Amino acid sequence: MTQTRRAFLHTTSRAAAAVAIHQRVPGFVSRYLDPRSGDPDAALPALAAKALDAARAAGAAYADIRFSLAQRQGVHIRGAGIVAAPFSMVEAAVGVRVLVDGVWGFVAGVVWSDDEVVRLARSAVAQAKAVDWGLGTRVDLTPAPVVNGRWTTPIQRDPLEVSTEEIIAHVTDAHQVAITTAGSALQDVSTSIGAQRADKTFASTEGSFTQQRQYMMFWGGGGSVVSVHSADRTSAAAASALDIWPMSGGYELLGAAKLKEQMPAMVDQAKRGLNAKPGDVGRFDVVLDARSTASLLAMTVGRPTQLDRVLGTEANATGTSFLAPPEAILGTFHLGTPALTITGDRTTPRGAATVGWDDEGVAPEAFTLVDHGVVTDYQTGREQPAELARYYRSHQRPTRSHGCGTADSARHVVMNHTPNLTMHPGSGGTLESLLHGIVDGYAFLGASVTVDQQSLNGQSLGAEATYRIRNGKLAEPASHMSLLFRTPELWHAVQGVGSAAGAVGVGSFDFKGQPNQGNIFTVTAVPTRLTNMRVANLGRKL
Amino acid sequence: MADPLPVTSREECELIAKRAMAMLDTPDASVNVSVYSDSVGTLRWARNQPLASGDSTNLMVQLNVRLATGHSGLALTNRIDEASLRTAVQNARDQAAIATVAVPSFPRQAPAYARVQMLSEPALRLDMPARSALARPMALVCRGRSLVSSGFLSVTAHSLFVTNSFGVSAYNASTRCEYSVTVRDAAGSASGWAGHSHDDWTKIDVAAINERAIQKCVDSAHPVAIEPGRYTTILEPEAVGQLMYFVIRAAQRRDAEEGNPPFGQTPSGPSKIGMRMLDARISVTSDPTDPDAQYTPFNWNGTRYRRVPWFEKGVLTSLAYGPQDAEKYGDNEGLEGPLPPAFRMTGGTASIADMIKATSRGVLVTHFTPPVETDGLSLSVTGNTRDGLWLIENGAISKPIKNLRFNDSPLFAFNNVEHLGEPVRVYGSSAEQGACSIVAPPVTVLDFNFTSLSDAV
Repeated sequence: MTQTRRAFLHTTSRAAAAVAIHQRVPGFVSRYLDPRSGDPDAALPALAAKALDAARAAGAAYADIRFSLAQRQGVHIRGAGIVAAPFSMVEAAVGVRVLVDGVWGFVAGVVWSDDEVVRLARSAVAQAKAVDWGLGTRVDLTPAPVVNGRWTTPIQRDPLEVSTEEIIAHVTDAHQVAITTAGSALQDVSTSIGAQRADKTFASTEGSFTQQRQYMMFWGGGGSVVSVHSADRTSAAAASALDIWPMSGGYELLGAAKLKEQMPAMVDQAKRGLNAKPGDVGRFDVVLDARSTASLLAMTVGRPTQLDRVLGTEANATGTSFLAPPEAILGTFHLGTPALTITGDRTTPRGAATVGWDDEGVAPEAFTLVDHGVVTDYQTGREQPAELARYYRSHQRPTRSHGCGTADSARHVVMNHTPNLTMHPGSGGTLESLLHGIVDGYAFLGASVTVDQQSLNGQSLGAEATYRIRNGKLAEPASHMSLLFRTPELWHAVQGVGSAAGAVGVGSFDFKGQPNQGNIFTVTAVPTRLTNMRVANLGRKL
Repeated sequence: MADPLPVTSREECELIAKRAMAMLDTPDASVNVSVYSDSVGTLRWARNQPLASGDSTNLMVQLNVRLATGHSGLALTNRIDEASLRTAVQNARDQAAIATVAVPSFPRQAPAYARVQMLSEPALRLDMPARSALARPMALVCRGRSLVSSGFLSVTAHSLFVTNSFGVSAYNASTRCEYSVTVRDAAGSASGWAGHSHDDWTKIDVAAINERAIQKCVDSAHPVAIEPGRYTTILEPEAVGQLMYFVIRAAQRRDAEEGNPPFGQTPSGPSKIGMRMLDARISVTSDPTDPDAQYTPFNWNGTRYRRVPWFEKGVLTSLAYGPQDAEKYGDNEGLEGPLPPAFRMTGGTASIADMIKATSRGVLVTHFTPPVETDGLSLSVTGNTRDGLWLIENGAISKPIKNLRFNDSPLFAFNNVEHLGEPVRVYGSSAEQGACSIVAPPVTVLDFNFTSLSDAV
């Protein structure tokens, strides 16, 4: 495996060294150094064809190949223009997936060359043959139309073409507002942002060939945060910008984030947080802002309606789903009140999960997960909906993928990942109007939600701000309050659903699988009001 | 037999690094090049059948350019043809020109890196047929018993090479092996889990792990609900590692000396170094040469990892700091632990069976859903039990019980300890916590706080 130093030092020119290593060391780096690779992007259709032909020749009944090239840039800005850790990243990948006698094989690498893609294809077939356990179960890929085309995220300006100086100036301008507004109370204001352009190519033995250029902007660790401290410096509190990101789109998303306009409210909220004290515990009527509602939706509806969780194939990793088995749930199970209707899609403008086709070459379609409180569908890719065929037939619906077959790069296998989710608005008006009539309650703003391995038991945490509601108005801030819930009871406790004007698309992130992979999606939610919820206090002093 | 997992050699890394370094033509600039590669071989299965899984390879080059002003910028690329490397070098240099924070120079002299041996030849040879031969019997056994197994076998060959303009260089190749399995009954009303990880494949006893997972599932049939509340709780080593993770992640000196809890005291006072914060039987150490918790003894900047005694007999002994803060703390180099964390937590000599016998009424926990932080000041976290939870009465396991959510802090829990058992290497791998290398004991914690019932299985 390793060359001896002496053997290496005998070679003099770099080219000779490359050839020497290529011949003597079986490490895969030698594949990179092939001088014949040329311009990889122009060769993609031919490369794909080579791989797919090799897969078929080796015995695959179905094969697909994905190429992904992600280019990413990020920067962290503090205060009036302190810039740390600017970075750029280029990451290429290629992965071949094959079906041999109904058994999957998958092999992935980095280099886009003839030799490499053929190697991947043959190796994937060998892998599939090695795991044919002869137990009779076969993958039944749901049919999908053959597609051909190109798609690009609609953008106004390519964020990777914008100079970092311009981005820094924009953010520093916003920070200046926080510095001025907060005065001596300011502890820190910092913003960490990034942008990505990902080129994805998909080709299959069914004849599909798609090329996409997907743009997004995202927060780095921490997002955009203002923190303040009390005059005696014994306490501190923070507030962050509205977490609409990640979002698909171009540099115009930075303006759309309205950082400068948000700063005064962020400073104000952080300052009010300094006075937060532990509140009373017990059962209360509760109002959640759109962000908190979005987090609840992602964890209590987005996760458990992933079909692979329902069927049990994620059991050894992040868990299963309480919305199982399908025959007891679909069309039958009342998850919540009739006011609850939730749809999934991958076409919402600027949605983080918005694409032209998913990573199985399927054009996504909008679908209804919860219809007036009743669970009516799951998130599907091509691999598993055949197991629901009877249900779909009995409802005169086609058995098909909704376009949720996704992978975070060509290096990872395709899985069911949550698409954009939308909660249909109601007529409850704004957050303020949802407070009316609540004599004593709590309002959770910007809370996150954590759930158990089936999305059944959960609690909120890390709220941006929690306020006591008194006589229909926000009153004193409360610290470390948490909403405890069991999912079906939660969604049956909905008493008010905000109106469309208050809808916010919240950038969301989740992960699953082994090896683990991430996923981004947008949850469009409105403020909601829930009755008689259990509220606890989680603050502890060391 | 298929090719073994490829390991990128030091010579291959040097070739790439030299190529990149030659492209930097900015006078007075220095560069640190890191070449990281991994080859992964996996087999994933569920419902007693294989899932789409296989092998993948990657190689990432990180270029860290530092200008004469001290400002630095980063560029990463996994395309190492001439044009791509040249672009990456230019990007790193351009990013450095924008930065306004000066960073210390890259090391000019190679420190004495610890010597580790982390490459397992048997791991490299574990190709798909071999993995399949290990997993298929488990699927068959479970099928025969009307049980549903889902598992994951993974071997990864890593290599990390670091070099800089001053000729300092370091290289390490390592393997990481993981095996875990979840067994559920046909109705989805009982679940058991077991898993293990190590750099040495021969330390992974697949048969023992399979048997433990099956037994936990079988022993979890017909659970009853108990009232949430504070219980004497025996946490198996896996659960202990999941909690201690938060303590090590938070152990940062600069943060503490700015007065931030949990390791800081007053707005401008010193940290809690020197104070007893855990039970006096607990010591926690990160040591790259620990045979059951090894790690590459340097980071991507070439700074070396030294042994870090976090806690000695319960007393907070070290908090981490980077090279830029070393002088402030009277040191000439940084003191850091690896990411993801690797550490050993001492315990005692008792077996879990002994600990159960010594418990009049309590709860036995297999592991948690990866906990999440609810309050950074006290390191309070929350999570749910899963894959095996039992009530202990009068020194014996009396019945399986339904899962519970907890809200507690490792700083409280590991300060309220009744018994500690023998430490073992745990699985330690999750999306939230990463691929950790943890050795932890089972611990009997008094008054562990279970706050609600969960009927999730």
